[in-house]
Amino acid sequence: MVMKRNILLFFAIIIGMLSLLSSCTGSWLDTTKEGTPAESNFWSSDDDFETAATSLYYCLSLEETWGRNLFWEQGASDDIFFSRTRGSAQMNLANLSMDGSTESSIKSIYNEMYTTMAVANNIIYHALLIDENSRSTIVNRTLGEAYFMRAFSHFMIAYRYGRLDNGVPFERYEDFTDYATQLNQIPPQQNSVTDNYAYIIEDLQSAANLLSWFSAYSSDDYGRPSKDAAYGYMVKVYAYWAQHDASKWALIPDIVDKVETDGARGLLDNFANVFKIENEWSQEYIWSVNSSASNYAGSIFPGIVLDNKGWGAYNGWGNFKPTLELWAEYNDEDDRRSATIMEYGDEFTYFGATKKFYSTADNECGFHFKKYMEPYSYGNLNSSGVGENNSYISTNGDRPTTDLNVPLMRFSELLLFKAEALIMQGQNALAATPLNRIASRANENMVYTSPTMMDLMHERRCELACEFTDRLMDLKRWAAGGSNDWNLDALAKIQTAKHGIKHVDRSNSESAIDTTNGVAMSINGKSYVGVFQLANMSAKSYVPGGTYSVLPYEINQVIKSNGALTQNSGYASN
Amino acid sequence: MEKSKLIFVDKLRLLKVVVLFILIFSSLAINICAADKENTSMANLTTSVNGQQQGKHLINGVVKDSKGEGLIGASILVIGTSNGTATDIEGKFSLSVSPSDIIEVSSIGYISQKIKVGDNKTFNLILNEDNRLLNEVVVVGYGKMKKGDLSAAVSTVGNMDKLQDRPVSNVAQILQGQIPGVSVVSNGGHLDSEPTVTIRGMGSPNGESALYVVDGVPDAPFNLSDVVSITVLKDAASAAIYGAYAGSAGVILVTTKQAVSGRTSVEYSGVFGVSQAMNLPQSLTWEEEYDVRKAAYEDAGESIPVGWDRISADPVYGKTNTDWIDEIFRSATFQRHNVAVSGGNDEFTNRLSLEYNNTEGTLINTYSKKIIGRLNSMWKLSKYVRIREDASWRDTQVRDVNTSSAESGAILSALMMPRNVFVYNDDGSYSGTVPTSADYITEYGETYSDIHGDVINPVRILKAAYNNNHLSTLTSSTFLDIMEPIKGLNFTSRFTYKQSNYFQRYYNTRRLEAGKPNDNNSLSYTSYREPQWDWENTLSYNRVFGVHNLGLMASSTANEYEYRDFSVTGNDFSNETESMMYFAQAGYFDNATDTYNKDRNFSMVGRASYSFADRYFLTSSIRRDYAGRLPEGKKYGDFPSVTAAWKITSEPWMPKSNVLNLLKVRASWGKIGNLGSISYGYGNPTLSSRIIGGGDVGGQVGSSTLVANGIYLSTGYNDKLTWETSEQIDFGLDALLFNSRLNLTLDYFNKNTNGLIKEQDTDWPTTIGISAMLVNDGTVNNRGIEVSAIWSDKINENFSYYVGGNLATLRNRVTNIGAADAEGNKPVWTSGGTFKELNPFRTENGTPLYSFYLIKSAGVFKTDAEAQAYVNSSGAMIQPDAQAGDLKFIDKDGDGSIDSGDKDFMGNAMPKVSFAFSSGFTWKNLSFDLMLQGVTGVKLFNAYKYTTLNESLGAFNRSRDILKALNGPNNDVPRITMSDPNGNFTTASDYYLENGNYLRVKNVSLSYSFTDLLQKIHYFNDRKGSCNLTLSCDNLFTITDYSGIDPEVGGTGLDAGQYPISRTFSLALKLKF
Repeated sequence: MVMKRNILLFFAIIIGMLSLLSSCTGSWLDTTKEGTPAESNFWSSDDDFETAATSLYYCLSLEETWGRNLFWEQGASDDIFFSRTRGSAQMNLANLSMDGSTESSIKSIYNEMYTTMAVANNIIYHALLIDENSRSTIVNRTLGEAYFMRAFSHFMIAYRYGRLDNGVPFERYEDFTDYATQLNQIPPQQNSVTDNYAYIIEDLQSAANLLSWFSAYSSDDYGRPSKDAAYGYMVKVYAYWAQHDASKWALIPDIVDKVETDGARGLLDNFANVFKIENEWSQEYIWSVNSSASNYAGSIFPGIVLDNKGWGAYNGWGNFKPTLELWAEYNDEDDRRSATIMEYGDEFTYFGATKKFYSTADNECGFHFKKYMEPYSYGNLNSSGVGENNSYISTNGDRPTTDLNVPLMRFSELLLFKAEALIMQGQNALAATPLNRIASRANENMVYTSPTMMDLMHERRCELACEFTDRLMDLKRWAAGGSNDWNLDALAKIQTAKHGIKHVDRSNSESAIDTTNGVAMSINGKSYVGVFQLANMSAKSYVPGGTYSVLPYEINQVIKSNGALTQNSGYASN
Repeated sequence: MEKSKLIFVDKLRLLKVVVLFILIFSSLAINICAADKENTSMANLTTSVNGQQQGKHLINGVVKDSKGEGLIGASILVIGTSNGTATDIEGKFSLSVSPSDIIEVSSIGYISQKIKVGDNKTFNLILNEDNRLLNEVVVVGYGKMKKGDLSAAVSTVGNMDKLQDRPVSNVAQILQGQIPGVSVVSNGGHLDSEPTVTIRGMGSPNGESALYVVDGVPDAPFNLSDVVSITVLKDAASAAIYGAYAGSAGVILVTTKQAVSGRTSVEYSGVFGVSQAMNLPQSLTWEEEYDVRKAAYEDAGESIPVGWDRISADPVYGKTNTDWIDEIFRSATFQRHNVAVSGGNDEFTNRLSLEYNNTEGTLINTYSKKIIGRLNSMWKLSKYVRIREDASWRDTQVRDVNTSSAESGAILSALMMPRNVFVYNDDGSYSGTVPTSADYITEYGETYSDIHGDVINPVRILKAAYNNNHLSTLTSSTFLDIMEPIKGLNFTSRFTYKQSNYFQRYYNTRRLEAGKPNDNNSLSYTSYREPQWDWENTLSYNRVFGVHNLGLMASSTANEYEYRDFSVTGNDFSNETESMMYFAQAGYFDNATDTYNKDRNFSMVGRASYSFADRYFLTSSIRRDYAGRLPEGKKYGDFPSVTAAWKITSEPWMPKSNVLNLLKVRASWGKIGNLGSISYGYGNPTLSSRIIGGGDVGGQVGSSTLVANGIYLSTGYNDKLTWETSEQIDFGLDALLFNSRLNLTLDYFNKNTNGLIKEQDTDWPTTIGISAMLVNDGTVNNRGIEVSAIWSDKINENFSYYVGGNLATLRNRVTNIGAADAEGNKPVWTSGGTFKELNPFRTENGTPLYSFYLIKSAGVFKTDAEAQAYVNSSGAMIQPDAQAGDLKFIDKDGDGSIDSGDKDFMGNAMPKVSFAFSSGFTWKNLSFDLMLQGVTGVKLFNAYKYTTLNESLGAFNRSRDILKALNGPNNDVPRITMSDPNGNFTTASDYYLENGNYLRVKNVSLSYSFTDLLQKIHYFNDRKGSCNLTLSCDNLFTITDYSGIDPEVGGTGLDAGQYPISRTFSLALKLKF
């Protein structure tokens, strides 16, 4: 009996403990996660804001953005062809036959840009919670960076997807009335792309107000957007906006002048020097993807355009090559041609040795881009022909970055926009000054007195070939203007079949041109022999302002939007 | 004094009330009843035998059943001879025997008896009915139950002895084909992943996970050789006792061997086997690859690049030198050894079991090694109090390899490597895609590396990169049992402490050869430590009052879990010798992570069961789980269940019959939760951090080293998130027929999984800019019928056999996919997996989960004219780029072009019917077993074709199947083209879709018992020694139409190339003394 009593007592203790446990479960169950900051304990110091700003730039160095994928679009322009065969993920872009479900290569750009907008939005939201007068220098700079990156990523989406009759989704967290809820809601689609442009300009102005000129930056801050970049992109946005509202041209010249004067920007004397590592932060710099070989950071674009396998020395990916059409655009005297393109037999320094260009790539055209070749000139080739001792290029062939930054905007582009703005306002003579600065540096023996749009288009093409300045968009906006000669010229350039030069022995840099299999042809008023049409680069149809003038929203995103995202006209939405 | 006594009495009274209240309110039934009855009992009728041999004499007798009725046809046999007879209509027999003979009296459905004849002349024998099948005890959640009394759908794998002799290394492998409704799909032959166990259909779109409870302890390690039985709680009613821990799939209870008192016994069991991968693909020879490449260039109007001709002219490299598939595959060995020592007395028992398992992968250099030690002890302190301790330690080391990566998968790389190069260069380094010797370059000037795409030497992938993970888990469970202080009342307090330590070491050496060079080396360490404890207190009360059988159980569990991990990568090692690959030699470090999580949970369970006169059974349970990880205000959930059964054969009005031994119908309803669907600490939303710089991305800021840590909000947070739940109804029927020869079970179930946890799909495009938050949305319904039947019979002393089979049907549907938009359009889910640009999955309201949604194709165009004749109403070609050899796509919506509107639902990877068949016999000491297993109604998406048959993918070697397309249009392989303008491969069409049905001879085994031989030795005879040898083959062969390596693809049925499962021949030895 005593035993039983003791046991009952024992049970009583247990039961007591159980009830105790259940009564205190409330606080006992509260557990925390450590090691990662939470909304509640972040945003409290300058360091926090600086760390947050770092996330803004994640998108810049991805293969999916300015590493490679954005350039697939240029397959539809007249400058570029794909020297390795591609599937419909890229060919639909090149043939302007997008359908919204196949173009996987463009999908991640959409995602990354909206992620960047969200990151920027969050920084802006939290920075604005701090009273304006108590914001530190760092918080202000971070706020400026966030405004810039929100505008920059917004712009990338706006002009690619936005139509006059259908804008792109955009929201500002600072307009939220219920942060926690609205954070999880779809940003409203703007009525017109011009509404988007208005937001972008507003953000760029806010960025310009908060950021310093680049010339005031110490090297530790190189790579952050500056006042120069904010104004620079303002110019570009106005230029694109002008396609729908010509009054925007008038705003451009003053901004360019301001950047030049107050920002101490200008042109280098020699075009080829612009694409040298030592000059990547020169007066011509406005904004670029900061790259480094040592930890393969930055853009892999130099490796992407290097001949496939880099003649056995390095893992070039050989994705993009220039067309004969681009080669033919240059005057023979133009310095920019040899700085931009190599043809068979052209000498270049490659891993310390002199090499003459040839290529046995899958789809060969007889040419190769040269703008980003400087980093490959260093080091030496070992006995197996493999490059070594070159600290200017990434040692990882899967991530072939170099020490050369990949420019996104150079001052010369701003001069070109200034010239274009003046021409478009009928001030052709005034446009001669900026355009001649470009032309004279190129030594192309061309002096403009009253340049036309055709002249402007020539200079812009020659100056910016193989850069992320979007040749295709230039052609689209020029073709959309009406039926002037230059409108039709731009349209014809979108529609054209693209060509290359055939050589008898592709593996011999001295090989003669193959006139048996190639034909004689006149391109840009110049005669060529041994011409052949590049594989899968035949003529295509294009209607200015039509369905294919913008990208289709990925069908999956339209479906997931459940009615909140209107597909662009002409494209399927399911 | 008086007062205090009074208070004590009052307290006692109060206590009694509390106890009573707890007992009534709470729960539990379950009789821990019915001990296993011995199959045979030795009835020694004589105590002394004349040493002197006597002559034969006639004996007479009668055999009756327990009711006194004579048994007709019972067999009487002199053991070891063919001398025997059978009883007549009255149960009488007569037989001539010697006094030293032993006779065996047996009859089906009764327990046979062995009797020493001695001097007896007359035998009056009573054979007891064999109620083994009825009295079999089954382990259920928080207790045990007589199989005959079960009212829930609970299935047991009983013949563990035989299954353990197979070359298996985990319980999931054993379960395959054993229980209808339990689907086991291998994720290929990967050594680091166990097969996926799905119980009664996939409910959670996030995949299924079952809870393993080992001897009452969740997730405790155990030795495979120690497993006595496996019980699967198939319906929600039986699993509901585990509430939110039951997981999405359900609960699997594992019972292991425990220490028993008696003389010390030693047991050894071992399996040794040899495995070989089956049905392997093969790549083109150098010459064939040349032809295919040439055809591709010709198709593009180009000539083949000069490098091909230059290299082909070389006497050494211009031919096929290497069979890469052969280089990477091997005959692998399988070993499992277990030694157990057990013994003790009434007050102390102890058992030690040690197991070693070494499974080599069929891909070179891959392995999985396991060492498990387990100590099981019991101390009896008094009549009422007992302490048990179960401690185990498990150590696992695995080296596996990625096979599904489109860039560096090991098998894919073997198919993509050109076959003219050698595995190694002359200097012993790994060869790339082209010859790199200085001699070659002197001779030919160039190596023409651009004629091949980026591919890595597959032998290098398997050998040079070292990726080994090491996991040790220590578990200790201590039980305090208080046994029947009051009749029928038991109390158990269990405290379990478990700690896992994980360490992964991964180093990558420099890869300089042409192909996919990477001049970096790195060493990564990933480590975590997971200490956790749980404390469970269970009170149970079981009493029989006349015809009333009452069971009550109440239990509570509290647990705490901690997780701390860190990982970091060292880069830039100047010296690559293995002994120098240590952090101290690293040039710089990156990718550091360091996290800490704590989680706490508390649960209360109650169960009550009642049965009346062995006829009516009723059980009900309720569990409440509190989970610390959930958002405030959403921290708990209730999980009830109720089951009922009616044993018709126990009704007094049912005539006793040898035809129908048992007939029972049952019904159950229950609800379970899936705690695992929510990550630890969900209730505390955090920001994400990512390293910007190095690896895949580079930092933007600075002029030199561009590495920085970025912090941002990456994912939406749902403050209303709670766990998934599933509710299930089950109707079942159990029957034993024909003197218990036929055992039949039939079940119908209908399961709804509600509040599915998934990333918000609808209303969350990537436009939002942060990853979708988790939501509870949608319902998946699974229903089906399960049948299992086994017929076993013993013809005579020497021969017995069994034939059995099971079959399960499954119908899976998403019955509620979420809220419709303003226009009434229901959302669709597009998840399920992608491969390159192929996204073949789509789920709509009313379709099965992860349905294939594809464009239908109709073979290839045989001629260009045929392609041109395929026009729409306006006369334009429906496929403008098509020519002979391109796939013909069906314009389903008739809009004149091929687009997403032509897609249609084309089934999914979940088997509609799964079945298994097993059979075997025992003849004297020899026994034979056969198990077949298969599925039907399965569709698989063979994405492997995208890389192995698609010439437009680039300059890689391909599968030999591509040769079919070399000589004109072929329905199996579209034309060889470098650009694929028709999108033969980039279109998600049913070209990839294949029938995944299969019938597999899962196991054949032949076993011989040397027990008789062994027992001739006195020592072993004395110790009841036994010895058994089994020859076995797993996965002998498979009948399937599937063209990939193996139809057991796993996951959602997207086959991107996998580690093949292998055929294993093995020899198993069991020795006990």
